[in-house]
Amino acid sequence: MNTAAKKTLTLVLSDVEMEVLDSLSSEKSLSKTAVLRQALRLYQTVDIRQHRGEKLFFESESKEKAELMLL
Amino acid sequence: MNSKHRPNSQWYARMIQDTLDDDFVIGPPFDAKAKEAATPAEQPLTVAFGLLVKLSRRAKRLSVEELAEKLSVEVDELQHIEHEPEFRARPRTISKIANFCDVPVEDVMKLAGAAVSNDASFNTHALKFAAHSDDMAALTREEQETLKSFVRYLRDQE
Amino acid sequence: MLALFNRHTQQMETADLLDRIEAEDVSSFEQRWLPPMQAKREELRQAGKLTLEEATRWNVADAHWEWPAKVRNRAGQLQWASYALRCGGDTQGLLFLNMVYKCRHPEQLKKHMVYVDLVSTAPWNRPRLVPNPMYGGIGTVLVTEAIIRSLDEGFEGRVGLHSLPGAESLYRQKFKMDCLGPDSAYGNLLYFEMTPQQAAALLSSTGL
Repeated sequence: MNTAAKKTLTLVLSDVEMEVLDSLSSEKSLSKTAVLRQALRLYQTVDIRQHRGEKLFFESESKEKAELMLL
Repeated sequence: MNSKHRPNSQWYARMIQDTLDDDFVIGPPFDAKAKEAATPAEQPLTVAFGLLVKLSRRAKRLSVEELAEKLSVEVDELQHIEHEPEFRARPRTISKIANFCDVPVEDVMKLAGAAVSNDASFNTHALKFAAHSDDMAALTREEQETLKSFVRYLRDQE
Repeated sequence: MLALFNRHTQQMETADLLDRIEAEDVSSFEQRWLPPMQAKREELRQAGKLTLEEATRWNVADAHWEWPAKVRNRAGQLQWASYALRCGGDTQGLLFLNMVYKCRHPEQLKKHMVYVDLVSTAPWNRPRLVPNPMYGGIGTVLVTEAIIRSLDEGFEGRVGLHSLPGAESLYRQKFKMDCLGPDSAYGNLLYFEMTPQQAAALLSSTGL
């Protein structure tokens, strides 16, 4: 079994950022670490697809599409 | 792998006995028309080509722009080579890359998809090398060894 | 310490679970898994019998899956977690998990989960494909690992998967997952989800 070595990162967040993190953590029943880990996965996933030329859209209830210029 | 959630070995033994005759395969729906999983001879080797370029470049601590300038090729082309297995590089660029990596041009042509390779052993070596394509920022010792080993193999083909 | 059941010796045998599919496992797949699976698939095709039913009967419905390509394309992507199960000196099982997936079950709608994307076992372990299959338990160990990973990630054991035909009773009865019906977006395969309560009950069970 090979457990990948883990590294520690110390993160300094503003009050507002911390509030957002707390709120997401509570809403999604995830630890703050798990929220950030998931955010990193999502960031990379979106980034990779955009690199390939794909576009990210949000579709409203009325089926209007708006491109999300996120990253 | 350690996890506090892992059940004990009796649990596993019992569960395994209980599910011994069950089918487990999980994945996409059956496709009768799917082309046969490509044998090593058919799979594109361009991932190995892209990886060879990327690792060789990083081993010399060059950015894509610096390498492009050094080889007098387009930055875009190098980026496509490193990131897109579907991309087909120009022969002139391939030959400059072969010189840069100091490996036989004919072999790099095969990796780059500009020449056909029917050599199963060559293809297997290239695919094993390609399977190491983790995108890490710094060239780890493992990557260095992987690169050295593959380059040695290519040079031995001469 | 993980183990698989060796059907020949009728004993449990120590197995190694790697937290990433490695080059060695890809080689094993290409050189030792593929040839017998492709041979059977080709035999069915020549006989005009390459249908879902026949492929399932012979346990080769996955013979066309491109594990090497997936390993290459997904390497370095945090969305995908892969595992290789080795025993007796060879790769016996392979697993891909999707870590960016949300639940559909009404009780846990849109919560994070671990989705089991691909599970496969070496052809010499497959009943119906070979007369004397070697190891048993690969699928159990790998699907259980998905549940454990879900717990480790803070997803409370939520797991989702689509079942190939023939495996439904396994997930329903043995793993005690909820079936949410056929998924028209995925070849009408049955979609299953496990809730935190089911995960806790399963992993702490002492007998059926």
